[in-house]
Amino acid sequence: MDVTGDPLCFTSARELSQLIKTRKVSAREVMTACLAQINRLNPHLNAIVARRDDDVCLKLADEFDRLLRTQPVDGLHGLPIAFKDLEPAFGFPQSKGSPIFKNFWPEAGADSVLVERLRLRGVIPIGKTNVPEFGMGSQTYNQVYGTTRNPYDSTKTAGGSSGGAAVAVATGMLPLADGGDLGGSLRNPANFNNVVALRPTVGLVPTAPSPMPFVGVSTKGILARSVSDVAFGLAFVAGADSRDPQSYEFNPRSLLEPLRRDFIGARVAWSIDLGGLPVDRRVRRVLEAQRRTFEDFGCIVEDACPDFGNVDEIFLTLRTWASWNTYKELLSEHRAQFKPEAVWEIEQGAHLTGEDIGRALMQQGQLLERMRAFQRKHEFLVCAVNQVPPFAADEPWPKSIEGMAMETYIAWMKTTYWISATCRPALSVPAGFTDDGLPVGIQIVGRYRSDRDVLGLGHAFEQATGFGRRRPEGA
Amino acid sequence: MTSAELDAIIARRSPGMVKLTKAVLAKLRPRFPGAVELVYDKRNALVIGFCPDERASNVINSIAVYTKWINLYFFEGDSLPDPEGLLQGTGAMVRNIRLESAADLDRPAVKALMAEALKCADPPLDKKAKRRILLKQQSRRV
Repeated sequence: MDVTGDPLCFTSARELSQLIKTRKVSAREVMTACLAQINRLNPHLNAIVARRDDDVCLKLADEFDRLLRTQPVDGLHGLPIAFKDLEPAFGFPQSKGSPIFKNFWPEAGADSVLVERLRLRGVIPIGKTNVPEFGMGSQTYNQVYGTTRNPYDSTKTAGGSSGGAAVAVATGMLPLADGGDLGGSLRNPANFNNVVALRPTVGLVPTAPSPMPFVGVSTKGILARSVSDVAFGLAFVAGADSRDPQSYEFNPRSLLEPLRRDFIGARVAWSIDLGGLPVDRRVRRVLEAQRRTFEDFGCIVEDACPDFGNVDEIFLTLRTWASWNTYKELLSEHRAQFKPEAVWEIEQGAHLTGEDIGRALMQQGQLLERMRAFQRKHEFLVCAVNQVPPFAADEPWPKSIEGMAMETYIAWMKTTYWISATCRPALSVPAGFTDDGLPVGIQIVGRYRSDRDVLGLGHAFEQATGFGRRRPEGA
Repeated sequence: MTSAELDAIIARRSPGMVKLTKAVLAKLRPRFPGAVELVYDKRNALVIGFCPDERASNVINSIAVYTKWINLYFFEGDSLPDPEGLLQGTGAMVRNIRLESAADLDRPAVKALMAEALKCADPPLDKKAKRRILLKQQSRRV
């Protein structure tokens, strides 16, 4: 890769939106730039799948330009997007990374709330972004579309499950992308690809359709190249929807305003390893160097960590129980087409009793209360996003960290799924690079429904450090 | 750190600020019996926090001495009753009052806010403990 992309490919989503609205740049010009970038990089990286033909995309862009001349348009008007392949989106296949669904096309009206809102705000859908099978595991490979590769080192994984989305954004194929996060699926790929993602407070962005709307800690969100653009994208998808009973009213305009905030005296609990999880020394070295950055903001930074108690039991019980109830019939009919990790996860849920579920839910209640008490004093918790840097793309999951064996295929990402269990907002923002040039992000966890404060601290960190401005070679 | 060493740090300010800082400390110290005073000699400000122990996150109130004024910080500021609207700031929890003179600390509304902050102290101050001063950060000066 010896050439670089059109500057439009790396213009912020906020600015692109403004340029299109004021007709300084056309939707066609933006689309042309993005398609060129996709055609140049995607064959190698495999981030965007189920793409529309270029001609169709350009005709759509022309149509959006015509609309602009005749009527007022919304905030994301004319921005190309590819929806995550776990999301139902009319006009595109929804394989979920499984050969069982490789020919499944959702019906008209079956869009998820996230897709529906993005469309209403004026995006131009051009395809889907690649995912792991059923979104299980934070490594994007599947039997339908293959492996998504890391643009900083294509022998490494892009992470997942929003792996295709993160790579598309990192390389300027798209200005922003949607994603989802149960155990780390927004944060991990953002971290591995040097972009930004917020796992919002549960309910900020509606997650419908969902097989179990009252159970679990699933979230939807936005990946972008800056904190400001994540906030910009969230402003158009956040807020209550009657199809998700956990969603809540929210003033999206607050995300369009500057994210600046005073952090003097803000108390930050510093715990890279969340109280003793194994963390690769390369990751630890990068992150420890950033403690000073928070101190320079005037934050009171000190070593402290909430009591996570038996969070593993909470998360794994609820996750495997949900997986069993969602996929048991499918597994019995198509077992040979499931990857071994998915079979393991689904079958773990088969052995759970009502008492197990009740205990996990009660323990989660206690965890939420401990977290609330902890955050009364410490407004923020700062820790690693991932315990490892991007690992080999042909390795399904890391089997050990610093000599400690991983007991499950998601044990290497406890720094993300432990946070998921608390329902708090958590941001992954670029924080540096290993000696061999692999991205390392830092995770900022805030108080319940304080998403804007988390974005504010992340924005301050981003402005002070500038790691997110570094692009993959050749992009 | 001794009081004399802290005085030496304070003495690097302008004469007016030295006088104001000493007057403010003289008013504050009796309100925090047994406190550990955590000192941060930063490039842009001298910060002195009044804590029940050595953990900065347990701070009750602090002052930041800038070049021309002093701010008094409250760390539960989002939940303190403030009928006169004295508390300033955009932080989620931290608020401040700008002190023009040590006499500002005698205003009933300021005293009431400080009394409320003291009630929130966790752990509470050990009033029988001996006051201590601890230097937590000293920025290199060019």
